[in-house]
Amino acid sequence: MQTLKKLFPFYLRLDKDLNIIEYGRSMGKLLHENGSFKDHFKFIRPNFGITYSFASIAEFLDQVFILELFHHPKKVRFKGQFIIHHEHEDELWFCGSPWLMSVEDLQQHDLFVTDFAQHDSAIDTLLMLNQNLLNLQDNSKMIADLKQKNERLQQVNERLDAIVYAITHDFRAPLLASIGLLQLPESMVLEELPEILQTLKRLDRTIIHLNELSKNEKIALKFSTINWEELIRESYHNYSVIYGIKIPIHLSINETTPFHSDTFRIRTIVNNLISNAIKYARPILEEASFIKISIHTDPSSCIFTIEDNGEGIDEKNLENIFKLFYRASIKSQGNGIGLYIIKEMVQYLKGTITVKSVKNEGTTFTLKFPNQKLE
Amino acid sequence: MKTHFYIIDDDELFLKLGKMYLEMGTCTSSVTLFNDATEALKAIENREESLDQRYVVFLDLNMPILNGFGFLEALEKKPKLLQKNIQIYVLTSSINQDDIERIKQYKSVTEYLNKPMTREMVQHVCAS
Repeated sequence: MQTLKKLFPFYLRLDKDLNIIEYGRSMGKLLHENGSFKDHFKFIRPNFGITYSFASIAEFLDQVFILELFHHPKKVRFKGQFIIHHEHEDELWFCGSPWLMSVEDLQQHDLFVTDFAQHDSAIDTLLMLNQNLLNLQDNSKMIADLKQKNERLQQVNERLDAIVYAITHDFRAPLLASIGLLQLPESMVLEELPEILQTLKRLDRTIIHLNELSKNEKIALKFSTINWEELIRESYHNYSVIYGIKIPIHLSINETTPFHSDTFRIRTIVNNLISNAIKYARPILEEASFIKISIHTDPSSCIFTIEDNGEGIDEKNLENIFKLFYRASIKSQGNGIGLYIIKEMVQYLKGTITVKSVKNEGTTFTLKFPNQKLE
Repeated sequence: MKTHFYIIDDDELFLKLGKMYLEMGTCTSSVTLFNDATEALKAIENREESLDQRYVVFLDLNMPILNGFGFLEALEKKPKLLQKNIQIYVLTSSINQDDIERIKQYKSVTEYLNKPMTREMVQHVCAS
């Protein structure tokens, strides 16, 4: 009982007829006389199906009440709950505290922080607010944080819009092409089966790309030693098979110290870069096409350069190539996601990426990653 | 009337597919494919003027370099290119209501069609 009184210095004790028989120390600062509960308080919440009777209140024991002390010049409101204590089964106890919106409210009611129980979360919030009012720096930091969060939300929203657009366009296109091919006269359909297969594979690649993109946000960084040679050979082999072209590759690895980073992201980045270098090779060059990859690692960073003599990127498109769903080329294999994924992952790894390109001459991407410490 | 078809689409597969269907059409005189809308614009400017020839353009919307909207803007700036014997059909995979509404603002567009091309579509275009 004493504990309860201490925990709720604004408590009210009501008898069977809802007379106030006792109230808390702090409540005494606002309520100056005993009497009928009904003459002092009205129900703000719940406001439906409740009457001023013991039985009616007892039906709402598990609910939050908001009461208004309506005679008080400031109409103080209280938030809390009614309980029936097992030692006093014919009494209702209201356990709550003033429902305050600001520090000013506290002052208006001549209340002090010491009038509240220590556990009261309302007062925690108020104290925090109060501190921030005093501490301008904190305040502006909070605003900056909120702004940043807001911007982040906007970005996420824009990306969602773009993805929905992609699903209705880029995902539908290969499906519709397949439907079109399958509706050709029967004799022609058979001939087109390899084409349909290619188209559906293309759709699958787009979905894999989107999945990589969402994984980047979800999967935590996991650092390990990167085996550049193996990673590059594997990726090069895979994409040579997928595109059915073999472009000579020159690999130069200068590793003075092992490079530690996140394998999943490094692999995805390398896959996308090698895939582009193969995909956008100029067929006219035949054997003269090349991909040159050079890697230089030191204790603090790793510089990765990939150069090709493929179709290159128009100068006016160069600034847009890292945008989601942007396609600078009329080559239809592109889905406009690859370079965006690369940019996002490089950022995630706190690295940098730059591009140099001349139309019909070739493209060079230079990436720099910090060399992480293994735990 | 004998009809020359132009298909503008960045997707090689849709070009090929369109050509296959159009070549089955009863009114087809020729099918020309463009994977770059700027090239198609040039071809329309340089086309032969004659009263008994009809030109029908199938235009995709979402394309790199010059997209469908850009193509229509450029075309509508040169009203002399838009004579009675040329019809533009937008043929797209977009089911985006914004795209559909936006297309309605271009007077040069005869109809908004959804991919893929079908035999019925070719018959419909030949008959109109």
